[in-house]
Amino acid sequence: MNRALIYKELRQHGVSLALLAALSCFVFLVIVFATGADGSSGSVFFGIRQGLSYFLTLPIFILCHLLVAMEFRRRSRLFLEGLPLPRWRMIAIKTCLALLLTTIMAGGAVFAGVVVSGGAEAISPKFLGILLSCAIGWAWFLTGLFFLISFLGRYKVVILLALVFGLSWIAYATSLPLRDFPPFALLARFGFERDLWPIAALQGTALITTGLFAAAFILGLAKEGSVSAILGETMSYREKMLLGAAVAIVFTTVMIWFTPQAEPFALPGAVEEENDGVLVHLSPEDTTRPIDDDVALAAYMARRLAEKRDWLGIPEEEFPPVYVVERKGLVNEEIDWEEVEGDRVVLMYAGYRDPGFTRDTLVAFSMSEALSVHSNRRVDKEHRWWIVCGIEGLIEMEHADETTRLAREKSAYDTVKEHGFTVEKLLGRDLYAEEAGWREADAVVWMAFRYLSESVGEEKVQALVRKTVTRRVTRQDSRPVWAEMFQPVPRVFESTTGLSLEAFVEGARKYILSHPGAEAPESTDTAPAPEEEKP
Amino acid sequence: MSHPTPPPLPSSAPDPEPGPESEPAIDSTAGATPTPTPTPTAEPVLSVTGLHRSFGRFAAVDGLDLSVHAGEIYGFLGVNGAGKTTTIRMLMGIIAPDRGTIELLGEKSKRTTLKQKQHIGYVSQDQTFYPWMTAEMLGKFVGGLYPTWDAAEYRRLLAVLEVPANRKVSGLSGGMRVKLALALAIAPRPPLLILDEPTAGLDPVARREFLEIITHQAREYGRTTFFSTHLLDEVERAADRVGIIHQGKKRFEGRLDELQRRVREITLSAGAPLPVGFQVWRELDLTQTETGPEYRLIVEADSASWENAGVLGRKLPLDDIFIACVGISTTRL
Repeated sequence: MNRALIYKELRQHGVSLALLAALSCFVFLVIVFATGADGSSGSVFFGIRQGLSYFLTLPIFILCHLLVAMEFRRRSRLFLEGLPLPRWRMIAIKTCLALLLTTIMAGGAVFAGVVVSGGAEAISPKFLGILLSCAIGWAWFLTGLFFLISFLGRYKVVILLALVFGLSWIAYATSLPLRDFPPFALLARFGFERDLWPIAALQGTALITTGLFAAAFILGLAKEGSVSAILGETMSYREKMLLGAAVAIVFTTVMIWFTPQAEPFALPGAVEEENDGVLVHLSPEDTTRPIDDDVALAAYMARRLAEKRDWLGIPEEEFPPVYVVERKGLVNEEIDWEEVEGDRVVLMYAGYRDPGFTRDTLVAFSMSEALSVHSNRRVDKEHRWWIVCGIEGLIEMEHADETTRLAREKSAYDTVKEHGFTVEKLLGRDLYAEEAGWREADAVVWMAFRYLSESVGEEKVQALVRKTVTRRVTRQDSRPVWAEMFQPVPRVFESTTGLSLEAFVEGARKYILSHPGAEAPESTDTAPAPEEEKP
Repeated sequence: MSHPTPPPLPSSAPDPEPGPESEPAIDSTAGATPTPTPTPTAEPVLSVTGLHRSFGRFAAVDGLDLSVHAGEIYGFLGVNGAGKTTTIRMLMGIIAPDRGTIELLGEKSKRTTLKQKQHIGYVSQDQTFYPWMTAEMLGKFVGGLYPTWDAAEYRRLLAVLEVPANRKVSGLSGGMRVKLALALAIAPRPPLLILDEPTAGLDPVARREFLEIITHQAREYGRTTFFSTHLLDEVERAADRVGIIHQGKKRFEGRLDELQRRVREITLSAGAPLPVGFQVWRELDLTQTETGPEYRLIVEADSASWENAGVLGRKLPLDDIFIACVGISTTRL
């Protein structure tokens, strides 16, 4: 009897299931290779974890749909019922088949990780055992879940959506750490846990999975026609419309109202200075040392940023707070920054007590980061970035001494001489920077802005930057994006300054080449400078 | 039908002797003459007692008693919605009865067991096979579920019935599918065949062919066959005995000739008493004659009652009897 049932399942779904398993393994291989090539996640098994969490749900959903939902929806169920075939055996065979296939998928994923990791991972038998038990445990949980859901027939979609929305809500809107609970705990340290067996997570997952399969069996064995017949039906047109409307309403509500409230940044031992609404936080690496210098630097930054904010015409309440974390590994002008998802803050790392550190560089970089955050990171990726870099250069060089300016002029001169300067290089500034170097490209743009300021006047430069890079963009408000679409930068540039971009670039090129500058001296403007010495 | 004044017909007198006539349904098994071949034995292969099944408030089958003897072809007759399919689904263990017992192949149970099902060949009302399967695949699949499956017989049946073995079910005609279902039902060589309106939807030629096959199977191999239908000619052609079900209740069980002997049309003057042992199945009409108003009635009575009453009655065609049987209830006038 079992042989007949297995024969039927294999004839019915064999090709689909084999394709599904092969495709899953292939996708896992791609994930693993991508993760391995990228190397950013620390382990190829991190990619496997992501694949197990998100990708694996799809093939298992399809698998259970093929094995269960289609069988119970079709009228062939009536044919089966007339045969001397206990329904529990049919469901048991389907269960075994589903578990076998998901084991192959999960095992294949781990195997792919092991193969690709090569010598990069220390694959001990224990580590492999932990990986396999977690991956298979998770896959079996998903199988149990979708197996049960497949028996729910017409209510399948409703329950699935409720589950997804519910879990998303718990994950994002509450402080309940889902990852600490089984089955999610199985993947919490997947790929990084080498020593401890996740006994509690495995036990919890086994319990939940058993419960899911038991519920599926109860539904499947409800034989009186009423339950299975009702569940086997597809949704009516009206039900589909109602469900679609409900999903749309929930989705819209979530999109509009559910904006994650970011936790306030807490930098222990940080100093905080405020000037005209601009907040600057400096977090020293060593909190035991005197903080006077940090306070002075923070105050200087806040004052200058407030000035420039007003010059740019950004409203006080829209300017993001600036957080600077001291990192001694960063020397001279090296500044690192981090994108904080969902937070409208500027977060930077700098070795601001390094002798080669320049505080105006930090102010200038803070402003360009603030503009980037202000535009919801759009300005970085569009053909306006050169304007931000120009502003950055103007701020950085505004109070620089003669030798520094001459050195920067020389840098611009050499760059234009060697690499040329065209409209394409201005607009595709990232490519130019990759070709010539970031600081060199910055120097060219700064000189171009100097030329612009001298040729059309500072008011027009101010008008240009106010029209092009200071408009606030948020995730909820797409109007600025539309506005930008109808006001491309070249057109705004021409209407504001009276110059075409081509004429501007050509003029700037000549201007740069007429300023050969001088060799860069050792920087003397080190932070923190005494307040009275500031220009 | 309406009649002018309250009919002056009296109630029939009490039956002189207790018997099947005291029940609303008639069982004439005792008086049945045996069929020439094969001879049905008194031992029932299938019998149900007090079978009841409701869906909500609706009683689909209500206290049904039946018995099918070994080797006979039993026609289970009823109009659409009479309860035939529900009865068969209970016999096959697909749904459970609320009350009553089922005795199949000598084993009594409340619900048909898997072991019993392995000795029953079943053809359902709709042939809902997997459309992607061929007859050969179906044979492999279904064969694995019956310990007595005869693969050679299955192949032979497919050949005899001209069912292509390698064509997908989705490519078979309705008649072919029924034949395929019959081959699947017969191949395990079961002692009992249960067929639920197997010829529904078939053209007359296919129906005739199908009936010939099951008749041949019963006569040749002594296979007991229980088939439901709402078509009288099928019953006339194939059945040794017939059970009529209406609104979930049994109305008649017995041989067809016995049914025709017992149920006849009589004419009765208004006010004249209904002979003892007679039961009115249907009031046909009320006519005015020189002697006064007269009723034309279809009545049922056993042979003794007919003899005692001294009334001959008019013999009726089967369809009239069937309509009288299921058309109105057995309310006495």
